[in-house]
Amino acid sequence: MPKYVIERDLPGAGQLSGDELCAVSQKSVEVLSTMAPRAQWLQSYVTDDKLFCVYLADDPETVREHAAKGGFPVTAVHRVRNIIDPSTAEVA
Amino acid sequence: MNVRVTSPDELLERDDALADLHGALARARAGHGELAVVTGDPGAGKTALIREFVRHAAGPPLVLRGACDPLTVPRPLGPLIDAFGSVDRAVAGRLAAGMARVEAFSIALSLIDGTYGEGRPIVFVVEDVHWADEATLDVLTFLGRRVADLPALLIITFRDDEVGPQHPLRVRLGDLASAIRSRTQLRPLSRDAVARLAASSGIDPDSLHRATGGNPFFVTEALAAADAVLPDSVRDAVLARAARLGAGPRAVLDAAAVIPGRIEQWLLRAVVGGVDLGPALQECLDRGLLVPDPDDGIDAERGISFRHELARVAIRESIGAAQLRELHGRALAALSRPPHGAVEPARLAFHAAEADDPEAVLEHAPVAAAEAARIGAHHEAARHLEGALRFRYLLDPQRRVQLLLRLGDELSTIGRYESAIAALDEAAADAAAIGDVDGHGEAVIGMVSPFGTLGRIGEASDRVELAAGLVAGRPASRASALIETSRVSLHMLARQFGPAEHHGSQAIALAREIDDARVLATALVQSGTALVMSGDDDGLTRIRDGIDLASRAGEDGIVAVGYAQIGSGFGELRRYDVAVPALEAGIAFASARELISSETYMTSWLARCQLEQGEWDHAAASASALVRRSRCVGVSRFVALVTLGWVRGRRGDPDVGALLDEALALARATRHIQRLWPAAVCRAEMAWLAGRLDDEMGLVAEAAALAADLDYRPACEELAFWQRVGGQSSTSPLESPLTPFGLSAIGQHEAAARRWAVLGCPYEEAMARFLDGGDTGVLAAHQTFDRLGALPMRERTAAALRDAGVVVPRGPSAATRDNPFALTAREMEVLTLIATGATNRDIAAGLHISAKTVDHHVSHVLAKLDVRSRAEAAVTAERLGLTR
Repeated sequence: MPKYVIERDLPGAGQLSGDELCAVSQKSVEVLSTMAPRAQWLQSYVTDDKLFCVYLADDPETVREHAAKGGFPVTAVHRVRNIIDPSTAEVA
Repeated sequence: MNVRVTSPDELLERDDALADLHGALARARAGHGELAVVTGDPGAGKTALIREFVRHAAGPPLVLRGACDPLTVPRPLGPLIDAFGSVDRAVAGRLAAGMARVEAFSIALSLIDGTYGEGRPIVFVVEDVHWADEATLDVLTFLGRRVADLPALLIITFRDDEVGPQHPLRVRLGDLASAIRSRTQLRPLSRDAVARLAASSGIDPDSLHRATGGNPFFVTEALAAADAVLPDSVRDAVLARAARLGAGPRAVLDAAAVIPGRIEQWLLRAVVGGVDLGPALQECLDRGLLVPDPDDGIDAERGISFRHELARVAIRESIGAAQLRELHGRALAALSRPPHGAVEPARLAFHAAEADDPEAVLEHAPVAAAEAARIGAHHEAARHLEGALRFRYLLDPQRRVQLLLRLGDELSTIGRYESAIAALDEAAADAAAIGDVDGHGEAVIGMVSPFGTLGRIGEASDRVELAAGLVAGRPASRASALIETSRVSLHMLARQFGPAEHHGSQAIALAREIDDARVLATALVQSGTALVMSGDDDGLTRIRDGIDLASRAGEDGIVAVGYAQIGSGFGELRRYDVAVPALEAGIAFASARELISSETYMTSWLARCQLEQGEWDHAAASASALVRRSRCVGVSRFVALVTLGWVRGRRGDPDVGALLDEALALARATRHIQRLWPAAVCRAEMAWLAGRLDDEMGLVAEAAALAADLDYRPACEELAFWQRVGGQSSTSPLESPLTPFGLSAIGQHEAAARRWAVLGCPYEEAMARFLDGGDTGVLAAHQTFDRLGALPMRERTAAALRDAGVVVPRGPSAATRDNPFALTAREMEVLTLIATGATNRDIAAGLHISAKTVDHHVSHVLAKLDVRSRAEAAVTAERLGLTR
């Protein structure tokens, strides 16, 4: 399944409380359970005014479907082509 | 030693499988029907599993069973006829006698919708679906799509090794994926299970397990054979058991081996001949080589069958060829004079072919073909005709021509275009040889459609002219009417609407003269489309007349084509007010009748209309579902690919390239301007957004040249627009533009924008305003791109405004920021209208979108506001000041 990074503009995201983060996560998980196995949420990075979310999904439309059902904004959808880290620097 | 083996009362290692089925039944009893799939190797025990499940089924439910025939060409709807045999003999008789396809669907539905069973849930089992005929596959798909709300459990069994990726069943399983919640694959027995079965036999379980691979049927046969040496194969095991029979019972077994499926006792008596059936048959039954049919309905004499098809095949293969032919001949003779009722032609054709009896084949196969065709089992019809034509040398030429014409028609219907052309070529040659001018004409004309579909337009045109030459000066005939309708098709493909309409009128006149409703309906639809495409709305009335006529004549296929023509024709003209309702009605019509390819085509066009109107969520969801369906091929696939590519590209979403590359390949395969044009402009637009328009200019020029040759203005103008954007001169002159693209191509962007607004194409309108320039225009464009979620253009317009010193709001769109429920702008529009008391129809009309789209928006609004009804939504909106 392709991997996507999704940008979500949400001013003030960095100020969300623990409870609010919990509620948002619960909503996401709940929607995903109705869409299994077409999408999987891996992780989200919450910054001051944006979220960056990493998902496995069948296609960009599935990502947007999840967002629409959960009431999450979608600013941009990007396809992850490669993941690298320091170990990639080592010659095989 | 004679070991008597009866079917084990206890099934080993099937508890999980049984639990799955009982679970599925429980869900069905609660009103949530589904389709359960059971697969396994031959001999794995699929039938035994079903039998065991039925024995303990809670309820109990009404159980209806049917099995697909291992006939060379199966009886159309065989399993459905079998199932009705046990609840409604009259209906079974009607199905067996042959009927129109759409009737069969409603009859099939009555099997599971509660008509029978007096309130009990229904279990409908169809076994050996790998052998199913086309009509049965259609019915199963039809039922599978409707079972979710019925208290019914459909169970199908098949051998997975016989259902490869190209098998027709594989494709249907894809269609039915959402209805299937239970998939059971029966595995071979473990060594322990084999040991239990072999317990009192004295046979070493390890050797037995090794020899049989754990195949349940093989194990029981090997145990029953009880030889010192284990048999090498199922075949050997079966033959070893049969070897112990006396001459009489062996003769009964041999006779039974030529009759697939359920064997009527009167038939068996006739085939066995001299032997006294009673005691000989009893011996076979006692030894378990033959079994009586478990639930044999209303027949006075119980039918019998082999314990397993594998056993029948093993016995059959041990009979010499001459003897086999003799036995089949006796079966044929007996079936030709049944004691009561009628025998399906497919059975007669089967035995005739196996008996190598040319006259009998020529008598029965064409009848079987006609019946199969009527019910929509076209694959079977073609095979029957091919079977008959094996003996073409015995046919008088007139009859041969007729059979070849029918074969050509069937082959065309099932998509075997080259074979269709070959058959029709032969028909043409034969007809010419005997001076059958009408037959010759029909054969030649029959080739036009397959040539056209293959993209070999030149050859198609040649055939039209050849046929016209043949029938010139002769009285009106089907051939002459078909020549005119073929001319219409060819002109339509070339976008030459004037000549198309002219020939359309000729076709109508001829069809009326020969009083052929089918040809007349086709002619009305085609010529009406030509009128519409040349700008005359009277064409719409003509198409509708064609639809009405086709409907009354029971020509569902033509009705569907009529809706599709209105939808795609008006869609191409961007007249959504007419296109969208026609497509929605057509999709509903085609769906109810399992006219899959029409339904798919119209769904793809509806997605395209939604794209152009800015309904991107619906367009993308729809197009994406189509692209994933393996049954969506050809032009439907093309439209879906381009639509999905367009939405993704405009949104800035990834994964566009592969879609458009596949689309281009499909467009090139058809060589039609209606495909090359959108492929070229979509690729050009995507390339332009990525800053590499140059890459696509070659393709644009190619399409522009083709459009110029045909002088098809809408295509010429849109392609010229891209040529100008790309800094090139346009292939076509652009004096008086007809379309907004044409206006933009000569720099009149403001006028173009206004025209786009009237047509209801928000993205194109915004593009025109952007190209026009000016702060107000670009800002308006920016807001539209923002609302649509068109990221690349939103950024480009934002940059332009920043450069011009205009303040642009950053972050989430101004629209959604002030709106705590995260309603999109469109949803806000809908909510505002709801608050004024507008009905869905009003909203659809007011926003120029379809009723279905409004439904979706309304449910999103209700969900986001967390309310149950429109009234509550309106109140919430007022209270929070959202609609001010």
